[in-house]
Amino acid sequence: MALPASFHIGPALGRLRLPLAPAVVSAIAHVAFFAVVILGASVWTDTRTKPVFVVLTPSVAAVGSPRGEPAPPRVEEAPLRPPPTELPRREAARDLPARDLPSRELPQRDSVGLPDRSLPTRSPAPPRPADKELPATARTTPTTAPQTPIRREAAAAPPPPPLGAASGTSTGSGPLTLSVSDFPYAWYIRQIQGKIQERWLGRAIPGQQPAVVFEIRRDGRLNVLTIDRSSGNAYYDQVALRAINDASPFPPLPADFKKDVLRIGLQFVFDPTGG
Amino acid sequence: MRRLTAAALLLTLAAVTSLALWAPPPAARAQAVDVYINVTGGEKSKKLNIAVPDFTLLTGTDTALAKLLASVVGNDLTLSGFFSVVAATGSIPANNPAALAQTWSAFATAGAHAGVHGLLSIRGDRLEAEMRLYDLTTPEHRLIASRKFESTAPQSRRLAHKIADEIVLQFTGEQGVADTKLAYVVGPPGSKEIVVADYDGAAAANVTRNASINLSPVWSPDARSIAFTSFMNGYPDLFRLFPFERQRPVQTLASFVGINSSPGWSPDGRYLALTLSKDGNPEVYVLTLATGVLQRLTRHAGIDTEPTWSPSGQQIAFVSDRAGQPRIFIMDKDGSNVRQLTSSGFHTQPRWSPKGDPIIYTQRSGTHDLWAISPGGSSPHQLTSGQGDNQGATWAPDGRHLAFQSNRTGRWQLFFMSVDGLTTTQVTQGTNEATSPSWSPRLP
Repeated sequence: MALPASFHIGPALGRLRLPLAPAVVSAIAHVAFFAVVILGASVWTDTRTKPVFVVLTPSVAAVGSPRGEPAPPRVEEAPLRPPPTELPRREAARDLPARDLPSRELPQRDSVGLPDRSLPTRSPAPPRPADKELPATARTTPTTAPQTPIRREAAAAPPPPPLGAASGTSTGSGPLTLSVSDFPYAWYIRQIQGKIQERWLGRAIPGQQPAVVFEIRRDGRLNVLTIDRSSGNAYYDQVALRAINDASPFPPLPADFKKDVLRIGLQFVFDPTGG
Repeated sequence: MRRLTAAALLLTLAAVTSLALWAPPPAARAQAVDVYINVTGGEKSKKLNIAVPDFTLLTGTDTALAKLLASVVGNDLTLSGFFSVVAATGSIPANNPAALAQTWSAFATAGAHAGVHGLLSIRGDRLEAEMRLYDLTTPEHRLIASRKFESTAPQSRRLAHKIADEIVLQFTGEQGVADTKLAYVVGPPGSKEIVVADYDGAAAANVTRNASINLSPVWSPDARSIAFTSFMNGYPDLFRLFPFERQRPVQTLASFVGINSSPGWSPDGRYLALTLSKDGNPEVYVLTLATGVLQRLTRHAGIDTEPTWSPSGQQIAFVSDRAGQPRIFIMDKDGSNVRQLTSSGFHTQPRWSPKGDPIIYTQRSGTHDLWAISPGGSSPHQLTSGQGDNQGATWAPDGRHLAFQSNRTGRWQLFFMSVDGLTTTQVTQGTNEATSPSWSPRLP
């Protein structure tokens, strides 16, 4: 049962010359190929983020709920909270300790009151462990309109917070991709919506409605106002523009929002059912 | 082999470079939208539920004042028409973030969308208050705004009014009208004095004490003086008083033969339109205050009176019975281009909105009621009906509210109304009749 004398394992392989040059060429070719694919993808999707608008159920505020490509799933961390000193009484929807530190840049969490829990948002600042708790429903609910009819009170409830810079994919390839949306001031958006809605109400006409883009200055005055996507009907476009014009001035921009102007994409949605 | 490697490398580099060149210019990204929102047509925006607990005393012991300020702020917010105040008792302990968070959580559960935390320091006669406004619709209870105000003890209600106006500004983009005054006429028949009160009817005080008949007070646009007609010298002459300057004497504006009445300030405060009957029958004139120069605007055998300026200062609406019954007319500020605004009815007391549209007037048909019409003459509509006589409207500086007199309770009292006519609130409750209100501009 002795092995043939000529059977050597190690030395035989040792004699094999590695095809170094082809390997290098192959590696470079692969790198080039993937570079082309990745950069190409980013170019096609990143050019001038087309304002695309989230349509929620009527009268429910839609603040930048993304429907882009879902971000890679995050690990659900066990809620690590600071030692409970005097935690506020817990309520069904509000189980996060609120603090009297409003000026601090707290990472934005999902809002209360809306069943539409789309992507949870995070602020660009690295979240502290205590704040990393994510809602259990994150990403399990599609961002389309909630199935259950929303009570009328829901209109007053806050819109979902905008997409934080860190969530989602910056080069999302879905039909709805938000560029930047670090504007977690729910009350502000609600007031703007209310003011414009009031002015538009009497003039709303059934049919395709335009999308407009406008800017608000720090003092609340209207800065720029343009049609971003025409309704195809010049009169409807004018009615929409006038509603925004008449609704100004708006509240002064939140003090800790640092930009000089707030740029808003707004989709008018005609609701024949009356909201 | 080496050559092949080099070629491949070059190829890669070229590909990467060209891709980099295709990248969109940075300008396109700078145009990025910060936030996307929807607006649906179909429902009117609802009132915001706001909680105003008693103010937190930082210095001092006057808890009654801390309570009063909160209740005045709450009432102001209710009257603004934008808010519904959530009932609250007690105050938030000072410097206790946990208690604050707990309070807001409780209010959020009760349906509040926003919370006002007032902090008060009383140092002798000085009052310092800080208003912190919180958003209660998210678990963070984010601070919307904070602002400090100072005042003196006798002016404590103004402190609350200023806080309320700031809150309205933060939510609507336009300051509220709580820090304003009402001037009006009070008194039993035989003597009528002019009274100035907070816009909500509180802190009323006489500004005339001449035991004569004093009528039709109208605030100047700088809110420092009031023009009025008085019989204090035996004839209906036009005067001006300075309610906030105790020592300053009353100034005579017009004391011509006949009637001197119906003052109407131009928006810049430099001119006063008025009615004089010195040339026979009542005509509208314009007085240049700096020079005393008088210019006659109307020339008609009928009565022309009650001038009111458009906010642009270019036009004047007035009452004329040249068409038979009194109607509302509009003319240019030099008296030219007269046109009739209202038709078929008995119309008096035009009041041009500080926002330009509409013009409010009083129509008599059985009872007196308030009506509104656009300056172009379209869509006249009734604002009051079926509740006694309602007349003598005056605009709040925001153009959203009116004060007027009504005898719906049996005697003349002052009321507020939102300009859509939907909500009405009684302002004065006194045993004497209150008439002829004039709502001041925002106080300086």
